[in-house]
Amino acid sequence: MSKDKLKEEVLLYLYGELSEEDKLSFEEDLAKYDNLRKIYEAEKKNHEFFSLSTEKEISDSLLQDSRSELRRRLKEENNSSLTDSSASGGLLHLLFGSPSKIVAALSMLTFGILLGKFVSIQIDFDNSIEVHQLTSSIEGIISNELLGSADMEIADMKIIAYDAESEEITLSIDAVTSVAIRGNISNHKIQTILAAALQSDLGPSIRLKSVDLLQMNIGNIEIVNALIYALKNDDNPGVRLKAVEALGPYSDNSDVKEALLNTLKFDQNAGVRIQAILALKDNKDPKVLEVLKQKMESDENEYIRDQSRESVSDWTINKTGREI
Amino acid sequence: MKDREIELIHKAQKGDSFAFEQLISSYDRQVLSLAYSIVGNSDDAQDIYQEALISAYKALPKFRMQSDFFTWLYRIAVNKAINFKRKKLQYQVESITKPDSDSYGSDHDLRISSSETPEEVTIQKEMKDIIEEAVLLLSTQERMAFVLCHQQGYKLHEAAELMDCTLGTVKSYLFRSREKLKVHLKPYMEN
Repeated sequence: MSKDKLKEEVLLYLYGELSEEDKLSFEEDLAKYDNLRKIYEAEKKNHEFFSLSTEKEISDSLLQDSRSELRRRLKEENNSSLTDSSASGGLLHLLFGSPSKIVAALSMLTFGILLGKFVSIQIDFDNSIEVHQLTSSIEGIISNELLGSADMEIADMKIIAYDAESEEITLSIDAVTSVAIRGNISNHKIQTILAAALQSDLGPSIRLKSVDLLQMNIGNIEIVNALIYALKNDDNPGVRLKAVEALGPYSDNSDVKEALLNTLKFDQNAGVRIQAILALKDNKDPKVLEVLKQKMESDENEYIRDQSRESVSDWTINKTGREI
Repeated sequence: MKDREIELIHKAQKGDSFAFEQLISSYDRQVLSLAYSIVGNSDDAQDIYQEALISAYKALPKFRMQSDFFTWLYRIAVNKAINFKRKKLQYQVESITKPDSDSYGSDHDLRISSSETPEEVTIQKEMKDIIEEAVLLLSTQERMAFVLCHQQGYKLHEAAELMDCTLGTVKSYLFRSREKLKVHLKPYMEN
């Protein structure tokens, strides 16, 4: 065996890369052959010397600095995805002019994405194509021309029935297509789509945009319920924060009040709890007072404790006419 | 993967940065340590740390749980460290000054046996610094192979996976790094 080969064998042995069998065989050779032993002794000495340099131990302060910077950059990263809407808003302003037109255009975009994602249609090929079923309440939006067009992609298809005699066939198709809809933000159908987006897993930025848009015109109880759903279930604190902002003006409603109180009591994010306390601080319900009293003593966030204390103090002054 | 880790991955994939911070908290010290070993100074190490973790956060929605999360994360860090050095080399001649020692853990010398005399401890510390300077003279890939296999104890096939190259290539990087170190450190080794 050449010297290089022997050296490689030695190094593999030193790095624990040999199998058990090869290791035993190597050790036997080591006892037998002087030249191998010489190489081994030299490399072992080098190995030990190099091992004086070990893996870097990082100080806690350097790690903490790095983590703080990372937190800041993650926030920036999240904000940049949130402010996409602002950036595109600037562009839209140039294109469409007034804010109401921008809102309508954004609604259209969101609607298009959702429709593209969710539309499931069943087609009966007879003499004409007919849309039988849509998963949302937006019948009639898809034109017959759209079916079979190059813009529509078939994600899945099932043959429901085929009658060989009559040659009639019924297909179920999951179609993905992009559809635009224009309308006022107060339009019930548009609001329904935005509310559905709020409860979907389309991504936090879509859900945030949906809350933003819904906040402008909370037209019915379904929207309130969708916002409450987001407040209770959304993983993203930004979405929950926006939902609290949107629901704040409706805190007299018992369901809204309950949701806000639960948020104040249990939400893990201090920012969301702060928004909840701001929404509830002027509410004079005894239930609210009770939670505020708990929060002024026990919340881990100093600002929340102060705000609770202030609200409790205001509440008692207003109620009794004197400070307790 | 532990249930808790899977839960945090799912949350972070949906854009929950707090969950991401929790997720990496068990691993990020090692990422920073690797970066430090490769670049030899805390400023650049922090840059690599940031680049690697932000990239991981952005790429996380594509993570399909088919590999170990740490291996996935560490691979990103290794690539960032290699590319960082490449980029850096395009703009400046590398400094081979002594790595800054303030950022080492205060207890890093504790691994030296307590039975050694203060003189021996001082000599070993000096030798350690000299070896680290010599390591910084290696090429980025040789240095990475040396840090992963020699300092961090990765097996050759694991280092190959992390460095995105073949086992044979890592082997030659590692062996070449030893040869170069021998040349650089010859005067000290003879003494």
